[in-house]
Amino acid sequence: MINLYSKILFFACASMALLCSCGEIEIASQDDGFSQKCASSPSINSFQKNFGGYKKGKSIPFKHSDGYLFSLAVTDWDNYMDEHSCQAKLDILLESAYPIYSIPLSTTAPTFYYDESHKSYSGVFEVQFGQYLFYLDNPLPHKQAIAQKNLDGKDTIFYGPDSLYIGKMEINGVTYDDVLVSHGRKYEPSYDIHVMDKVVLSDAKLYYQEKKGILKIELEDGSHIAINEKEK
Amino acid sequence: MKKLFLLAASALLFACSDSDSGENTPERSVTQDMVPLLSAKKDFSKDTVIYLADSAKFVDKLIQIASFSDETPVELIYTAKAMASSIDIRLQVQPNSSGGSIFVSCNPNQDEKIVFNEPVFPAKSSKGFVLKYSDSLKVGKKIYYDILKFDASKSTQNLCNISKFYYGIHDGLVKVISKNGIELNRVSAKVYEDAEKRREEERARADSIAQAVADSIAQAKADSIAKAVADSILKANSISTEDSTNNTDAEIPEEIIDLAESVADCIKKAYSSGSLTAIKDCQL
Repeated sequence: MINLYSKILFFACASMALLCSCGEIEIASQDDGFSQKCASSPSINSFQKNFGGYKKGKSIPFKHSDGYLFSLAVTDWDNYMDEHSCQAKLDILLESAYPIYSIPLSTTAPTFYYDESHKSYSGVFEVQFGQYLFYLDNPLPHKQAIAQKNLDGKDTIFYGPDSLYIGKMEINGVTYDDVLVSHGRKYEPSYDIHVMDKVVLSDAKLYYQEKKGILKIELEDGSHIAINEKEK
Repeated sequence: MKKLFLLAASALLFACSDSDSGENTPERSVTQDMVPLLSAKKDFSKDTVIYLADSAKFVDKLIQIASFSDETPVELIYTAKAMASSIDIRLQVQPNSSGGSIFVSCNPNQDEKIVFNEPVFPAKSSKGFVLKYSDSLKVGKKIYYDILKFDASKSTQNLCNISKFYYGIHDGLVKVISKNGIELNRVSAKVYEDAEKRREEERARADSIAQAVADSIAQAKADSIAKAVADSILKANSISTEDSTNNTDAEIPEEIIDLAESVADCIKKAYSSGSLTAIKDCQL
C-alpha cells in the first residue's frame, strides 16, 4: 500500500514538474520501492536571504519619535528546514532593551511556482511589532511593473496583498531608494473565551527596502521608530 | 516469600484501580500562598486597557485579560500585551494534584514557560527566576495592594525581554522594569491621550516648518529665475541700443524696464503656484 502511494506521489510530482515544483521534497528510488524526505538544504531566494543585510550580532541604529536613540540588535538569524511542513524557513529576531522591542521576522520558501523566475519573485516576510502584523512583499515584481509602466505607459502596477512601491524616501537625513510601504493589521484579542481573536486592518505602516530591511514603523498612536544611520 | 508476593500483587492492583477508575483521583489543590491570587476573582479590576509610561515621554497601551475559571479551585490565566512595544506577559495560576503551579511567560518569542511548582513566596525556579509577595507598592502617586513581583534579573538564562514585573493581585500589571533598568509605571488614560495630542501637535509643527522651508526655497528659485529673465531682457535691449547708436551713455527706455518687471512678476507668481504652463504663458 505504501509502495503504491509512493509511486502515485512520484508520478504526480513528475507530471506536475512542468507546471510547478514539488516544494522541498526529494524522492529517491530504492531497492524496496520509493521513499521521500525533506530536501537537505533549506533554500530560500535572494530577497529572503539578503533582506536587511541582517546577520546575527549586527546592530542597527534607530530613533524613536519621542527622542530615544537605540539600537536594534539581530539576536537570531536561522535558516532551517521545517521537518513537519518540509519547507525552508528563515526566522530573524531584532531586539532592543529599551524601548522594549522583540521584533520577529519570518518567511517561508515559496512552495508553488511556475518556474525559477517566478520562484525568485515570491517570499513574503511576516513581521510582528507589538499588536501589529505586517506582510512584506518581495520588491522585485513591484519594481518591474513600475519599469514596464515607464516603458510603455501601461498601468500594470503590481499590487501585492499589503505592500505598495513608493520609490525614494528620506529618513533622518539619508535618502533610500526602492522603498515599499506595507499597511499593517492589528491583533485584537477577544475578552470572551467563546469568541475567536481577530486580526483587523489598521493605519500602521512599515517602510522597508531589500538592502536595509525595516526603515520606519509608524503606529496609530502617532509614534514611530526610524532607522538613524546618520548617527553612526 | 508468599506473603511478600501477595503484598506486591495487591499493591499493584491498588495502583491500577486508582488510575483506571478515576474515583480516587487526587484532588487539585494550591498552596496557601497561591490562594490570594485566585480569590481576586471577586474583585479583580474591570480595566481591560491599561497604560504604562516611563519618566520621560514614552507611553504604551496594553490589553489585559484576567480569566478566572468556574471550577473549584479556580484557575487563573492573566495576559497583558502591549500595543507599541513587545511587553507580552502571561501568568497562569494552576491548581493541580501536586499542590499547584504558577507558569510565567514574559517574551512573545519564547515558547518555554517559567514554572514555579508548589510555590511558597519567595519562590525560586530551577533557572533562578524569583516570585516574591509584598503587601503594597507605590507606583507614581498611587498605592497598589497585594503585589507579586517577578524577577528575572538573577536568572542563569533570562528568557524574558524584560528584567522585572509587578503584578497587582487586584489590578493586573502595575510596573515593568526593562533589561537596562528603565521603569515603566502604570498611569491613567489621560497620560496616553496627552501623549497622542503632543505627537499630533509635533507632527503639525514639523509639517508647517517643512512647508515654510519648501515655500522659501520655491520663492528663492522664483526670484532668481525672474531676476535672470529681467537681466537678460535688459542686457538684450542694451546690446541692441549700443548696436544702433554706438552710444555708451544711451538710457534704457522706461517701457522696456516695465516689461521686464512685469515678466518677472508673472514668472514669480506662476512658479509659486507650481504651474509650468503658467510660466510658459509669461510672454514678452
